[in-house]
Amino acid sequence: MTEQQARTLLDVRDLRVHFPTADGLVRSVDGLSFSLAPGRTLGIVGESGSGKSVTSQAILGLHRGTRAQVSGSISFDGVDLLGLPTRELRRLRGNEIAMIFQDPLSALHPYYTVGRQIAEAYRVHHSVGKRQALARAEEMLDLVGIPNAGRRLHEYPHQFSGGMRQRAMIAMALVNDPRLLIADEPTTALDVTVQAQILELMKKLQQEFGSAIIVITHDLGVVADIADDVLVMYAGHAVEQGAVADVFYRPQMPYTWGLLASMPRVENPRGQRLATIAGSPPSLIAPPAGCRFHPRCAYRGLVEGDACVTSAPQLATTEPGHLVRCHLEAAERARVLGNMKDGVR
Amino acid sequence: MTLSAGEFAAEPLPTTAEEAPTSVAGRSPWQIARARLRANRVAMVAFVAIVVFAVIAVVAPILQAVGVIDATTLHPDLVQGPGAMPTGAFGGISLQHPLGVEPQTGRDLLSRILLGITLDTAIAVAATIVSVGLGVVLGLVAGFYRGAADWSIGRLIDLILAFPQLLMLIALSPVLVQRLTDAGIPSGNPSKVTYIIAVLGFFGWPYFARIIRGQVLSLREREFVEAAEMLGARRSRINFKELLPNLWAPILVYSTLVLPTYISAEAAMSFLGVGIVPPTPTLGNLLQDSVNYATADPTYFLAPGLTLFIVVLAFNQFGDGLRDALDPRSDRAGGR
Amino acid sequence: MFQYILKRLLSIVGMLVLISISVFALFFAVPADPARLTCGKNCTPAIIEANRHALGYDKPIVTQYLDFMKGLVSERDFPDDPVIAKNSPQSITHCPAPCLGYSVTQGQLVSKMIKDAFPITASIAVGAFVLWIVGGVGIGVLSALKRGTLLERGLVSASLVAYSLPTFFIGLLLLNIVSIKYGLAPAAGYTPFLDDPVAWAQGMILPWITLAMVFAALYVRLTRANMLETLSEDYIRTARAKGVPEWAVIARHAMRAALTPIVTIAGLDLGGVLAGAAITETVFNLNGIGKTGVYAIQQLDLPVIVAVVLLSAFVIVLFNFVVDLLYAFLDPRVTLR
Ligand SMILES: Nc1ncnc2c1ncn2[C@@H]1O[C@H](COP(=O)(O)OP(=O)(O)OP(=O)(O)O)[C@@H](O)[C@H]1O
Ligand code: SF4
Ligand SMILES: [Mg+2]
Repeated sequence: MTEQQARTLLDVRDLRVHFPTADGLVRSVDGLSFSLAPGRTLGIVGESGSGKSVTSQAILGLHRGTRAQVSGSISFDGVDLLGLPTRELRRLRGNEIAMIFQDPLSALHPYYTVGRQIAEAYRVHHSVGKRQALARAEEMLDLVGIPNAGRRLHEYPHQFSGGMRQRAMIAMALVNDPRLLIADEPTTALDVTVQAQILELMKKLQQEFGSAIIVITHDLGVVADIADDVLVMYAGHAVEQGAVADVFYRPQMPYTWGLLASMPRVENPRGQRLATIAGSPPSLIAPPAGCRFHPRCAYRGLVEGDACVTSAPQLATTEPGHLVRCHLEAAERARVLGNMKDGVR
Repeated sequence: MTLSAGEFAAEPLPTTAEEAPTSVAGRSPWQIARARLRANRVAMVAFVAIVVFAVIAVVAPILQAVGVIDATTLHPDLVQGPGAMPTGAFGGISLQHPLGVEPQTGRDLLSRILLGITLDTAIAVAATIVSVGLGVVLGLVAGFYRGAADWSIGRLIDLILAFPQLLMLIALSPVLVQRLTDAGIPSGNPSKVTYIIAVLGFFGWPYFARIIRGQVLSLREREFVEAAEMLGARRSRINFKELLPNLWAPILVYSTLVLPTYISAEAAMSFLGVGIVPPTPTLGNLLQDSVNYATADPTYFLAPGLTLFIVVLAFNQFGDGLRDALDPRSDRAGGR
Repeated sequence: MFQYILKRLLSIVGMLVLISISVFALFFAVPADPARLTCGKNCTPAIIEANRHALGYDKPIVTQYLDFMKGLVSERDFPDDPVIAKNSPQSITHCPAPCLGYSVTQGQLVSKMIKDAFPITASIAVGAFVLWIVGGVGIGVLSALKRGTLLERGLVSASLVAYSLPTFFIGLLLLNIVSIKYGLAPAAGYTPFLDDPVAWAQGMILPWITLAMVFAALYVRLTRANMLETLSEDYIRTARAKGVPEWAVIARHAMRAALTPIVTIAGLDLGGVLAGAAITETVFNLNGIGKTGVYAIQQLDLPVIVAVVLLSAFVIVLFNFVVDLLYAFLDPRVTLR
């Protein structure tokens, strides 16, 4: 990460997004920092409710005008996004920074044709006529591999299949050649072949336009396939982050171990049950004291005393560019990791 | 049915408790709803008002029987002049008659209003029960058996809703009241009360039936999906015990919203000349009679009208609060 | 599409036949003797019999029904008796198609009464409709956009208050206090629009306000709820993420989706009031369809009751149909089958 900091496109520091609700303050994102260089891809993983979508929406300023409390700093190409007036932020939205939303059926307007919605994204940032914008939309649909784009242009989202809607979302996000693309679970609920096609598409587009990509996913396979760096989130925190190779080959803490263990892989024969992390995600209103993962952690016995329960671990560097939030001693980690590699699992 | 004073319109359907959010703190949807309702000050005030009216409805006939209030005794001495208007200011307000007396008869207005509340709420509650009863049974039948039963009930509902309802409420009166009397119900007001309950209940059930049917079908759908996912089952059965908790919330919300429309409907029927007639007091016939004195005796005109308004408002406010409390979507907010 | 329309039209006809049969069965089974009710105090048995004959009440009910249905497409005579027709043709009332019957009480053809009443009801309905749509939807959208402000709370409370006031109470207040006592508004009355548009509007102001009040209150609530729900939809977030300006997010994206269901409800409600605004018409003493119906019911004037109920049902069913077509046109997800 160090050498990239020279050319940083996006820099997020100590981001917090809190929602006041009747039940209390929901701390969905609670002190998150990461940065991203042009042409690179960051994968954000973590189980449902860990704050992935909330983070990505914060970058686009989509919490403005709601009750959400956003703090920290987000700078995009040197511009502080959190302090930017909405009017100016709007010029970046969809133009410099674009987003592919989770669940394209509900993210597309049911009453407008797909073509019109893509064309609108183009027209907002370019002074062109309707016809020109539609031509551009057709071009994009073609680019993302929708057959008969000229005809499909005039269809409504409900007439598209799941995979095609996902492609349409991508076309809409890419219509202005954004410098940062945020893809929130772009392949969830798609079958494996379509999933592979879409990832391939994103890689191709990145090569073509040199965009930076944030890809949010539950699926570590997607991260391994497409990302350079990875950020593992748990209960609004980063618990481990670094280069994909480092994190995947030398994971340093129990939650990441669990995630990796639950990942389907070639050597894991089909039909065999995947390991899952026992327990359920913690409350974001009153998160567990100490390490937020401790109620579900199988390794906290290896930490001396009750540090896991009483004191919150801080993110610490284990090797250059590899950060981990865990009390375990380096020696213990190495031992556990060694056992895992030996196939104890 | 939103029969606010006669012209009908539809309100969005209340949502169900099962859709309620699964709370972070792990409370049941009902507990969440109750907490939300408690926090809604307007709804709580409305609730208190409803309780007060309920107490009045129960106690007024007793007070009348033991002579604490007196809605029937004529006081010719308290009215005077060619129009037999109440003596004294503001419609003859005095210690004995806090709201004054009726023109012509000199009967105590407060007593009549209190007794009117009793009869009006009794009618509205009974009509709501009829609507809910018919609606639940027919809605369940339609949802469970689908096919021909569903189709027939659906067409019956279409047919009922095609009638101009307010007009039917009054048009059926000459036909049916006599029938009820022939059937052995005492003639006059008892037959009329029965008639009003029956027609309001009858024209109200389709709305309940639709909600219930929708619930049954959506639950079926979900059960089917779950069962199919887990067992590869082809078809699933829903038992009634499972269904009931999902029906409670919409029935409750909808009843609270329908009840005040029945109260206004009674008044509208009185106004159009087919309601319960004096000396039995209802808010409707008091209001209807008082119309003639709107300018000459404003107290007499406003008292029953405002009472009616407050009762209806209290139910509407509470029903609103109840729906918001049970509706998980009511807490969401848009952005910029 | 064509098939759907055909199917719907057939079902409408079926529905109206069913309604007419039930109405006939209900009303002609009135315990009281309908012929007896057709004449006042100085009735003689002879007059009653004559009226009974004139109205065809001496025939079996099925025949009466068939005669009525026939009258819708061909002319009828009252009484329908060749002997009388030959001896004293002046005592025959001729009723051209579509014949809805003859009101002895009013001494008029029912179709004539309806023809006179409908413009009045239509005047009330259309004006009130415009008022409640503009007011209700406008305030509803405004209160949704001002969510959480004092203004929103005020508007919502005011709408609930208006919604809880019985129509006839509002009407009577306006009539007796505003108009009669203080003379703040022109008295209600009907002047044909073509005769004098200004007088027409003046006479309609109070009825419009009365009828529109409850509906406007309802529409404020419906619109606000729909807008709030739509504003929290994912596709609104998408629009914002595309950089669409806020006014366009609201006008193009939110209102398009939030108001479409309102169109449906508005259509049904317009049908409902065109079928007769009985209370408003009665309060302001306007002889529209509703008041005609109410008066006929009070007089047990059966031919008029049957005609009014049928006409109202027809309008309601027709608007149902139109609204379904409209909805399919407005919402691309709906296909007519
Ligand atoms: N407007 C809001 N008000 C209250 N809580 C919210 C709000 N938006 C999100 N949250 C909470 O924030 C947490 C994080 O949500 P987020 O959508 O970021 O999860 P996620 O990691 O994207 O999960 P998933 O994988 O299911 O998409 C969740 O617990 C969610 O309930
Ligand atoms: S800090 Fe303790 S509880 Fe938390 S992950 Fe590390 S070992 Fe487990
Ligand atoms: Mg998410």
